[in-house]
Amino acid sequence: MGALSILVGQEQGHAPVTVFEIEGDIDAATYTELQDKAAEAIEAGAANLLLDLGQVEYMGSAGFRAIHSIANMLNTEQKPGMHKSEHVKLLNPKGEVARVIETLGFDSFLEIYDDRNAAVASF
Amino acid sequence: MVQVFELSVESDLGNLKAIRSFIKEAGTSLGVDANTVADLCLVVDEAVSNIILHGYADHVGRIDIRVASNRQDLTIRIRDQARKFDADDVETPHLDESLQDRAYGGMGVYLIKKLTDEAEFKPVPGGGNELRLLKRGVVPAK
Amino acid sequence: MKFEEKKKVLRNCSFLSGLHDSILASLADHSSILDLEAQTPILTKGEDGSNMFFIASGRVKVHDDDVVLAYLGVGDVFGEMAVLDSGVRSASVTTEKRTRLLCLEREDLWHVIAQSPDSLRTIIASVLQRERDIVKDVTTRTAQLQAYEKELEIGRRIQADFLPEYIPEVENWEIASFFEAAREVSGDFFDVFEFGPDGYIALVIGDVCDKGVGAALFMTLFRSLIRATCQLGALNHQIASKASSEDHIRQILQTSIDSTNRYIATTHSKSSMFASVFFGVLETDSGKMIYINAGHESPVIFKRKGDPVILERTGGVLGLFDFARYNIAATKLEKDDLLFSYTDGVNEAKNEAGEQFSDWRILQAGASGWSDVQGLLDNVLSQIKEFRGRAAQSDDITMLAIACLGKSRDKAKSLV
Repeated sequence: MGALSILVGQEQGHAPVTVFEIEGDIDAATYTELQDKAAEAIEAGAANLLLDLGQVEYMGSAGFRAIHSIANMLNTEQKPGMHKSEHVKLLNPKGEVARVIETLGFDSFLEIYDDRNAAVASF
Repeated sequence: MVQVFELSVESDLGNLKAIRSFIKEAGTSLGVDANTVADLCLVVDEAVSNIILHGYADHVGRIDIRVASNRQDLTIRIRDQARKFDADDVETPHLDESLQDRAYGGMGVYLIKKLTDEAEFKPVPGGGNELRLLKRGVVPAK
Repeated sequence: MKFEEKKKVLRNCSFLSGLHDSILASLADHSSILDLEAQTPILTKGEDGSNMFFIASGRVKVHDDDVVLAYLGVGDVFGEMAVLDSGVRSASVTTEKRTRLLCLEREDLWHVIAQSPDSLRTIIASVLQRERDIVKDVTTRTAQLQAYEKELEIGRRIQADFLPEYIPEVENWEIASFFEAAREVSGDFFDVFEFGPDGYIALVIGDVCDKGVGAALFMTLFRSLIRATCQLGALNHQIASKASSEDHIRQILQTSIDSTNRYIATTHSKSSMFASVFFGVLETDSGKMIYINAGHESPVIFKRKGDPVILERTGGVLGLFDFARYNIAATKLEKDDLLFSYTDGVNEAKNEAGEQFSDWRILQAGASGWSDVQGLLDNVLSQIKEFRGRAAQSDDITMLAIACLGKSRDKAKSLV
């Protein structure tokens, strides 16, 4: 039903990183696709997830809720001194998406990169 | 001068994209700047998503959206015919809904609050509800 | 449109149901056809009306200015009220799309009825049914509005009940607060309490994202968690001497915020509820204060000497991510310094041009001086109202402030 396409790839930094290349709009109709894809990857053993938002034109609160639930899925240990999520990071959010990340304060909790290599190396 | 744009859709999540396009077209043709137009698309999307997921949770209905400019101000009215409040139930508002369900709107409501100047919700004649969103000073003077 | 078709349209209207076929024929004879394009006004509220309309095809909207009251389609009738009692139009009617109407003049209707008195009974029954439908709609609408208002009222009541019953009186310090709920929003809260050993005051101000009863309920949760974890923390630590109490206070503050965040983030993660909170603990003897600013509007200390000090954020909001970390920062209030904290209902108050009150107007209010803390709050409030003008207040307004009055000069003398 959704007009959301998610390309799953594997990269290697200091640890294996699963990269989601997302294209399309993430709204209340399509956010479950992102959540389900992430759950699938986690079940298959993914421990680190990089969400490439470079081709995402629109992301509403539904998308943020998906990211919120994915981050909680992957950050299960209580590590003292943890500041931002070590297991879920964002790449290249653009325009309005980047502005809403700031409005919701998600930039306090998730690292955001504009360079794919730097992002992968950070895990 | 008042300019009006209207759209009527079925309460289906699949229509959200068309609604965003409608708002983008309406805002752009009024000369509203791109960032504000993007904010308005977001706000309307959040409001309509809430209506579809909550108001029309167990039935289908129509959603009417009306964008109107009045001098430099922009008003968006979103009308639904969802019957959330039962006339027989006046004395006992739905406090028994779990905290999670009740708070579902969370981030969406926060964004609507932050990105509009006024957001007023009320039941209207003929059944249903109306959400009126106001953004001031965004329509350039001609 | 042929005679037979006209009669069919009339027969299709429930308003005329029960009328004899010969009456319908007579009405068909006297009625005229009106074809209209979309968005064409037919009736205007307030005007005199002498004709009524039957919809053969298309759609119209009944409205009062830009408030739509109803949509009518094939088989519906409008305009009959003015025809029957020689009154003015009670609403406006405009076509939605291309519409074909049958139009009947008042004299023709009465002429037809006069020829057949029985038909009058049918017309009256229809009118009464219409009245009953209107009454039912108004009753339902009123009930809906009342139910909605009641929910909002409950939200505001819950919120008001959870504000501190009294603000502790602390020697050499003056504390004042202001709170005004907006119609729909009930997420702001503040708290002031003594805890732990003597000489420590907790100052909390927060804002739960959301509106209505949901926000109010989450607000009570945040406020109670913060208070409870604090009191529990204080109980758990045996504060032996003053020297170690500072570390303990730090630990209590850290644990309180961390556990509140974690509880909401894990137990209520589905609702994506979050709150911004400023939590400061003041050591009343020295004026030293440690604080956590979790995504909240930055409070400001107006100094007697020097520039105002902004207490910046030390972490993100509470309640979203249980791995989030919140740092503790420290500052100090000297004699005549005033700490002013507030929620976004203050700096984001908007006027009719869409401009925001902003931080700089807050700084300006402080810079112009104050005689007492309540006076400063009153000053800020009146400036907000003046700035806002006729624009509505769309968010809760909350302010909490504390000022250092310095050591009492008479204290030593009062003890003999």
